[in-house]
This record gives sequence, structure tokens and C-alpha cells, in this order.
Amino acid sequence: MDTAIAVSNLSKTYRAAVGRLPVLRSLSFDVTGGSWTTLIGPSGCGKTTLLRILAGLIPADEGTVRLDGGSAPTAGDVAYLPQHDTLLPWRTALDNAVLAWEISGRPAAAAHADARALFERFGLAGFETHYPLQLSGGMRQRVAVIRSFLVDRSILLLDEPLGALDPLTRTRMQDWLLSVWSQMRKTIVLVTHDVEEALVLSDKIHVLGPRPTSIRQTIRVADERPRLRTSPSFYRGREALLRLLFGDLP
Amino acid sequence: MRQKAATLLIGTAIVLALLATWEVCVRWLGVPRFVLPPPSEILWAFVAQFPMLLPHIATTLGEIVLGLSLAVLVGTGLGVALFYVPTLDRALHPAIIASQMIPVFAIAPLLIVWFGYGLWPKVTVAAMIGFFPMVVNVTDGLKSTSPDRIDLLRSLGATRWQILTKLRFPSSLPSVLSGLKVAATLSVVGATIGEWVGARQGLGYLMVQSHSQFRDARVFAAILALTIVGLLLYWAIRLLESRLLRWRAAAVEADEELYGGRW
Repeated sequence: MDTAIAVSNLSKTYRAAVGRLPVLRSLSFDVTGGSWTTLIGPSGCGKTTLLRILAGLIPADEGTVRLDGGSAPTAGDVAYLPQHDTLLPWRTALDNAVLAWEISGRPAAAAHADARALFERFGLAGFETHYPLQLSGGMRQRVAVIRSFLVDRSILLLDEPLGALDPLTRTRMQDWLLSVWSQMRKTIVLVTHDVEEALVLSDKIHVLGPRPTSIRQTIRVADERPRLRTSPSFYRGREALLRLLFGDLP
Repeated sequence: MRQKAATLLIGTAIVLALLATWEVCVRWLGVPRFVLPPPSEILWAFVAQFPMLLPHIATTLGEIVLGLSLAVLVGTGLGVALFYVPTLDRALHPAIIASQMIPVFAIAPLLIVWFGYGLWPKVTVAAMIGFFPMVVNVTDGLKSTSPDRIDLLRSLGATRWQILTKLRFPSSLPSVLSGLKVAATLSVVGATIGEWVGARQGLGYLMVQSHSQFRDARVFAAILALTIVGLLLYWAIRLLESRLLRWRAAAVEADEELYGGRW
């Protein structure tokens, strides 16, 4: 498979009024087209900054990002689901879902029909006319994820999409996310704090160090999906990841 | 439904109690009619002279609506401009604040000199005090947009204009509508002040006229008419608000039901 995103020697320092804050330090990695890459690391280490650079929303200080071996990303090249406030509260679930198409100027009737079909397919039927504040946290994230998947871009960046959910909902949502992805294949870069989530979903997991962050180690997960959360190889992966994140375990 | 009935009952009871107290006090204490007429007489004056009041109401309402529309247009336009051009914001901020420090009563006579006795001095006064809450609430509303949502729209390839119309305007709507409610009540006061200083028609003019003729029941009848106009305007905006912010009302209702009331 070809390289969808090539990141090399990326560095970023914020120059806030309070002083310099180095966030990324010579970060390099490649993302294979159609694969699932996960970035895991301590909170506040700069994962969101990295995603925003990949999305072309902010520039890096040094280093390069190339999409499909070509140009650097500019805003609009890559689909991005930010961590907070993902839905617009004044739009119904369906109107939120078609936002991307509305912005690209697609006729509303066709967009609504297509989005309705997706709602049907991914367990959101009946919630089309609900406002986000009337939905549960899990439902809200489903709508946000569906919206990101139907942006007509081959690369999708997800910033902790399940971060605010309780562990039970979260586990169910991981399986749901996987079923969406298996039907609407895209190149995914996911940011998470959750070791299990990384192991269930990813082809490749990059473990990031504290700020200024760089890649500490990369773990490949070759097991067939869907993966059993109780298998020996899953436990081995879990242990390896936890060791990398926390040092030696008791 | 039961709650709505209770609200209506309590509101009516309070107003009736106040009016009754007023009526009884005025009659028992023998207050002269030209000092304070009893409410029954005001109501009678209002009903009996309603055909006479009508053209005055129409004039004042016209001034209020025009003044408020001007305030909304100028206030929103200026608010958007100040938001997108920070230099303009810093440059104009003192002038905008100063415009609210000038007593309207002091410049209203000047406006008559400039524009004559017609409609425009009143519209100008109403717009002058109404535009301020609009400017403030529009800029504050536009600033309150969530940065993550801006990221989202930018990542969808939205233009600046699309971000304004699809994100910043709807985000600022609760704040803008609060500003509109304040502006509406202020524009009622503004139009009346404009008429007070010099006019040939309108409720403010009628108050001045009736007062100089010691016809206090008519002064109060005019005040009653003005109050009704103001309330209707306010309710119209409340209605608009409940339409535009339906998404919020639904959630608040659901929450209050979930948590057993408002805490």
C-alpha cells in the first residue's frame, strides 16, 4: 500500500505570552493508505497539536507533512473530528451529519437522503430530528463519527472521539466504530488515552512521550479484526503498551 | 399546562392587588384628580378615548419599529465590523461608549433643529440608545464561538463567509436576542423622549399636552397605551426567540423534567 501521510522531523513550539512552550520535537512517522494508526500518550503531550498540523489548520515550525507523496496539507484536505463541541447544537442530528456536503455545495435533498440511509445502516434511525442536547453522549458521538466518515476525503483524523464516554458505552462504541470503518474504508489517525481502544482498533500504535513529544516506540498489531479483548495476545499487547506508557509495572 | 395557568393567575392577582390598593388609597385619602387619578378613571379614560389614542399609538409604534430596525441594522453591521477588524474596534470603542454617556435629553432638541418636527428625530433617538446593546451583544456573541467548532468547519473547507453564516451567527444568536430584548425596551423609551421634546403627534406628545392641561387621567391612559405597545413588542421578540432557540428550549425542558424542576 502507498503512504497516505508522510511526517518527517516535525517540530512545534507555542510562543505564548507566558513563555515558550515546546510541544513537538522532531517527530517522524508514515501512515499507510487505508490503515488505522493510533497515537497514544500522556495527556497534554501535544497529540491534538499534531492532529491540527496534519489537518492543515496550523503550520509546523520545522519538518514536513506530505499527503499521498505530494503537497503539504491545507485546511479542507483532510477530515478532522475535534475533541470537544463536535456537533452544532442548533442543528438536528441529520442536519449535523450533512454539514460537510452543505459546505461543499451538494444539493440538500440528495445529501439528506444519503445521510438518512447511513443513519439507518449504523443504528441511528429515529434520531434524525433530535437536537444534540436531546441525545445521550454515545448517540451524540455516533452522529459526529458518521458525519466525519461521510466527508469526501480519504483521510480522517479522530481526536479522542470516545473520550467522554463511560467505559461500557465506550467498549460498545469501539466495536461500532470498527463496523463503520470496515464498511467505509478510510485512512484513520486516532488519538486516544485508552490502551484497550488502541489495541482493538489499530494496525499501528505510536506511543508518544511527554511534552515536547516524540515517538517513543511503535507497536504493530497484526491480529485479525474483530479482536477478542480476552485473548492471550491481547493481554500481551496490553502489557507492552502499559510498560511503555508507565515504565515498569509492579 | 397547569403551570401556565398558575403563572397567569399569580400575575393577574398581583396586578389586581396593586391596582386595588391604588384605587382605595386615592379615594380614602381624597387625593386630587390632577395629582393622581384612581386606576378606574384611567381605565375609563383609556376605553372612552381609545379612538382618539389610536393615531397617537400608530405614530409612536411606527417610530419605535423604525428606530429599533435601524438600531438592529447599524448595531449588527457595526458589531460584525468591530469583530473582524480589531483595529477598528480599538479606535471606535471610546466613541461608542461616549455615545451612551451623552444624555439623550440634551441632544434631542438639537435633532429637532436638524431634522424638524417629523418622524426622524424620534427614530434617531430610539436608534441611538437601541444600537448599543446590539453592538455589544453581537461582538460578544461572535467572540463566544467554540474554537473546536471553528477547527471543524475549517477542516471541512469552509470559507470565512460560511464560518460566519453557518457557525458564528448561530452561535451568537442567544446573546444577540438578549441584546434585542434590551434594545426593544430602550427604543420605546427613546421614541417617547423624542416626542417629549417636540412633536405634533404620538403618545409622548399626548402626555405633554394632557399634563399641561391637568388632564392626568389622559396622561396615564397614554402611559397605559405605551406600556401595552412595549409589552407586545417584547412578547413578539420572545416568540421569535423561542422559535430560533428551539434547540435549547427542548433540552432545558427535558433536563428540568429529568431533575424534577429547576434547581
